[in-house]
Amino acid sequence: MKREITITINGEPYTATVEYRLLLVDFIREVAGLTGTHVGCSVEGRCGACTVIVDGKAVKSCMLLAVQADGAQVMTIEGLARGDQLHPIQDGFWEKHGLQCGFCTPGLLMTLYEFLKTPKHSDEEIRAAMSGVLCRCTGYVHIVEAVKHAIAKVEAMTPEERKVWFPQ
Amino acid sequence: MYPRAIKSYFAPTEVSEVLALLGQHKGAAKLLAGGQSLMPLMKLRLVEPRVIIDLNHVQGLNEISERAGVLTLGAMIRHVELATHARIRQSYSLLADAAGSIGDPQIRNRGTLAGSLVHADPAADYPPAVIALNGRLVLTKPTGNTRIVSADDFFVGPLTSALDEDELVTRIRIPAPSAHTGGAYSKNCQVAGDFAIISVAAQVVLTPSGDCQQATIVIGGVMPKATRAPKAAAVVVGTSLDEATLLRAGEAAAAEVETQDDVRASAVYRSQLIRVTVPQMLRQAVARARKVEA
Amino acid sequence: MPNVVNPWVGQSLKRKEDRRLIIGDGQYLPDLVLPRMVIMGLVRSIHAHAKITKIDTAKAAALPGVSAVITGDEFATWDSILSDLSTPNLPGETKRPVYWPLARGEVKYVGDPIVAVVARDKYTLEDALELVDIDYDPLPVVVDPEQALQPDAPRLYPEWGDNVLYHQHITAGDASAAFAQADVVLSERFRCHRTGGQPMETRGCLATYNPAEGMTLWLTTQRPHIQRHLLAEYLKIPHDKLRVIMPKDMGGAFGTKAPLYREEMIACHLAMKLRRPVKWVETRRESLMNVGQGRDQIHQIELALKKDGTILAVRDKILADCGDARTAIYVGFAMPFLGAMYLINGYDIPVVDIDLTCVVTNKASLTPSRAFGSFAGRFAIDRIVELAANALKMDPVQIRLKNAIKTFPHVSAVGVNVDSGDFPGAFAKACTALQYEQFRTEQAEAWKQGRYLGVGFCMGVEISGVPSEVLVPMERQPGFGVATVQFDAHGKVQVAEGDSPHGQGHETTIAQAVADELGISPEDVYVTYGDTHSGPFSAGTIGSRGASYTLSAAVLAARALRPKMSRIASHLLRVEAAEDEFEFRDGHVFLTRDPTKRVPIKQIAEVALLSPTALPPGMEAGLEHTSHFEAQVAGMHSCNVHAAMVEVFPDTGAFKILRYVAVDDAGAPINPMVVRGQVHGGVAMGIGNACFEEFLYDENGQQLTTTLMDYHLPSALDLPYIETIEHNVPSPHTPLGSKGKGEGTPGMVPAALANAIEDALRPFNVKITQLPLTPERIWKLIQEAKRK
Repeated sequence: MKREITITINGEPYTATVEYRLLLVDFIREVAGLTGTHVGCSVEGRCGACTVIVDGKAVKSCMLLAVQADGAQVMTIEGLARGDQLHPIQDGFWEKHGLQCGFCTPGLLMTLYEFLKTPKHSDEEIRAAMSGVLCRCTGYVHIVEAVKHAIAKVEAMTPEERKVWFPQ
Repeated sequence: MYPRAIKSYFAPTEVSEVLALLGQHKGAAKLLAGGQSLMPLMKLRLVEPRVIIDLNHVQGLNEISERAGVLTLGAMIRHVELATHARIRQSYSLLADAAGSIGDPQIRNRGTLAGSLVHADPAADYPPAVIALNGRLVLTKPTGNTRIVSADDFFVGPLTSALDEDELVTRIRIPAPSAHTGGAYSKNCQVAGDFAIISVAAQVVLTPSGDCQQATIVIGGVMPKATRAPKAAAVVVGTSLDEATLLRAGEAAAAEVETQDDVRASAVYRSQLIRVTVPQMLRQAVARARKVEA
Repeated sequence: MPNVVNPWVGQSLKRKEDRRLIIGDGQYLPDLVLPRMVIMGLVRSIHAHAKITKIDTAKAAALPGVSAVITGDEFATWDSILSDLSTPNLPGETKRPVYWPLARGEVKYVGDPIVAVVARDKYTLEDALELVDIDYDPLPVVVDPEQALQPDAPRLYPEWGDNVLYHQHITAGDASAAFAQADVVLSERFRCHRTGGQPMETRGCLATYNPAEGMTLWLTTQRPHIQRHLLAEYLKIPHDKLRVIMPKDMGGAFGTKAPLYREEMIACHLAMKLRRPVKWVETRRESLMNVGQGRDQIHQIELALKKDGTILAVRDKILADCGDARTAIYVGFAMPFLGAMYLINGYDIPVVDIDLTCVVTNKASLTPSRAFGSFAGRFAIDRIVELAANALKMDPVQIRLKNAIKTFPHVSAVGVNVDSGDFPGAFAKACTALQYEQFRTEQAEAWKQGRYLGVGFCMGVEISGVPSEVLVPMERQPGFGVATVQFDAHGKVQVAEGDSPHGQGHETTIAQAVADELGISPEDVYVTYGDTHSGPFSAGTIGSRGASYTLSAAVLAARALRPKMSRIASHLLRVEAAEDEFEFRDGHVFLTRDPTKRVPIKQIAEVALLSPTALPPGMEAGLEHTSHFEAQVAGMHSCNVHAAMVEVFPDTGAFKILRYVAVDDAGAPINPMVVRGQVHGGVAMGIGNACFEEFLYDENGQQLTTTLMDYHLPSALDLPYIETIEHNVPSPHTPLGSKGKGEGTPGMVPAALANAIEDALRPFNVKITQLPLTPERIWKLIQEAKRK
């Protein structure tokens, strides 16, 4: 029914004994106390607000059991910035008004984190990259601008800077 | 919202372990692959497995290899891998198209080929593609007995596959295409990434002079499962695949395949979509076939 | 007006709220945790209409980890929720559904809450919910509003004698005479489906109680003060012992979080009963089945015109399907009422005959959704005007210009005051952006080549806040905006607003406006809101009040501080100068005639608060002011024009939005980037509602849209690029000329799109009268037209 697991989130290990049925998003929010990742739907895994990075890939954390992430490296919205410095995607969202209520924003930022590792440039491709996160406030227009702003910053990075901003 | 309590969870690393666990817990166990279909069912409590066998750490289920005229795909290959793999996109475009149509990027990062096939949703993207490619699934039991089931026979009905409760899909085999082969898949849906209202998989093989030697058309989004349209395919065989012939194939497919009314669309509209989409997919398959050298 | 060089107002400053939101430090309701907290869930009806014959809670109550299981019996001492305090007081005949927080004896729709369960965690809670056993005796179901009007229809509320919740006849002038004189009369039936708002964050609350301090309720609400006011009555708690707090962040609302709902009443009751904090977080399934179901109207509309296109009169028989109507304040019919009042919208139609009937059916109650009740009406009016243009062979822009409100202020035939706007200017910009004349040539060419391109327009007024004159009868609450502007001892300014923004950017826009008034930086202004115990009483964030009412109050309050600050400066500088001889800039107050004579604003605040001995003799200490703002007119509005350009593919009915142009009036935009965001979001919701989203019920009242896989919110791939063009006409009533934005925007979209699609399909001569605009529906219209 239960097992002890350790999940490293934003570089910090969290160890707890959890029920097998505990969802990864609930481990992140309630066991680790990182409430930046949000839950916006019930069973369907459609809204995407719970998206986090697990071993380098954007996944909906409500669609994984926490036990599946035992030993994994997870990154959440809280892990994007480096001290006072914002990640390019955070900076883009701020510059271009890519959020209003902010509820879907964590899901978008983490999905776009993965996208920025090998970014594409057309509007269609940018929109496709974020098609797994639903936003009700912005109509997505400013978010596309935010992504383009971030792409420019990322493409100007040195390989060393890339390693810093894209650790997984 | 939340699954019923799970009694046991296993994360084996070898196929042999998976099979042993299946043998031990059959009936009570569910194989957890990508989870994109199983997790919603568990959260709705439509499915309440007491035992979960997690396949995500199992070695040997991730190959993509071509040998002796056969493409072998490991059961746990993720949709994103198939959608972006250069060789798959070039020579098995049907499959790459289908994989790239599924859901959204996060779903494609986790969802697996076998997981999706076993789920057998009539509106899913892989079944028409895998049927059109004459795919065969390799199924293994705890006893070690292995059987090969064609994609045609694997899908039994809505959400029902031929997989026994103590069986594991290990790989999917697809015959390598001959020269001048091209395929295309697309679906019609209410919003991007949604399940299909209808979908069409079309594959053609051309003669060296560019006429149609072979054609396959499979329609998805119809009940009880993805359905071949051999009469429609026959319309284009032996022709130069001119526009008028492609349109006739569309008519034939609409007449041949029975459609249904449901919340997403009416039967009449589905038939119209088939009529319109089949020629489009044939056209695209031909264009791709023409680009492939011997 | 302050003499401001480089004003903050008008700049697209980055938002202050984003700082916490982009790093994951937002504080939303689901994030709140209190010691000993327990989680509440609800068992809801699976029948659309039934008597409850048995409720067995024993197994659920016995499950380890379950603290309580209660039924409707718990509320036997309560009066029905809909009292005078919580029902609209509108002209017309109103009936009042009777209900309590949990079902007592009967259920009226699938989703009606019957049993509340409390458990230590949400997983255990779900196990417990499954163990509750309910037996039902199904009753006949009515789900069609026209059927609900039939004399033999099943009744939701037998004591009524029928299913009519509300009826009103709004008239102005003599419609019969006008129609008799008309050269052309058009008559059409338009059906708008059930669709509406679904914010990304669902509802929730956290209630905690102790007898000494009373109740604190964190609630996802747009109106904390109003909910407090009502809950004190229901819970029978003295008003001073009840505190309602909207969490610092809320994941959108769009009207769905404005009513007072049953769930918070139940949570409060349980918090008192258990003496433990009780938390409830709505599931998406519950949200889809209970809130955001809006629109749902049938319009049988007639237009009388002269042959030159002048509209003489409109007649509209409106039937609104209000569901079970059991929502406090709105009771399902406030939305159709306001929609009826706004039917003629931007058109100057002198004679009006609107017959509004609101019926109850076995569905979830209509709840407010962005655009309120106007979405369906605007589809009807802008569609019938389009049909009139066709009949008269007039250009659709010309017929609109001919009938648009031309002089301002304009009082509509039904008494709506439209204070300012410019339709000709807005149309000119829309047409220029589209290259409209050239488009007509391209369209003709395209038809010859078998391509179907079309353009459609919609125009209208959108509410810039709602005045007390309307809110008092409609929602039993005031319409004023209110803000307290107060300096702190460090010279920073706190603005406590009465409303509760949740994404609208008030922390930034109000800071910009107040910073201009006081000559400081927006960085030095912090805006607080949402807590009834630390902010002035106010209506809440609804109906585009922000830039019109609330921000205006903040501006006036800041302005009111200047005389005192000038007198303090004068005293500190030891100069004789009148109050108006000082300027406020760059953090200083200085004498205009000699700028070397200046005092830092921080020092003025310190003197007023920390060292009042330095104040002028006799001056009261402190530096704060509260202002209430309300323009003494029956409404303020913006005037907007939208245009859509589409390509339609007749063989499937699919269409692509090639361009969507929104010419938008924000009066005097405080932050143009924020305004654009509001317009984008409003258009996006309009497209979602018009094309993809429908709440579906089967003939037994079973809800078919219970997940986001059924109710299709559009993703980035489903929406076009939305072009916004400013055409601002300052409001004469607000201190900065600013207008509220965002509420009405979705209402523009269905007609703009339907008109464009119909225009593209002109060779087929189809007529679109129904929403949603699905490819199948369009394809079927083409097939029917071909058969004629």
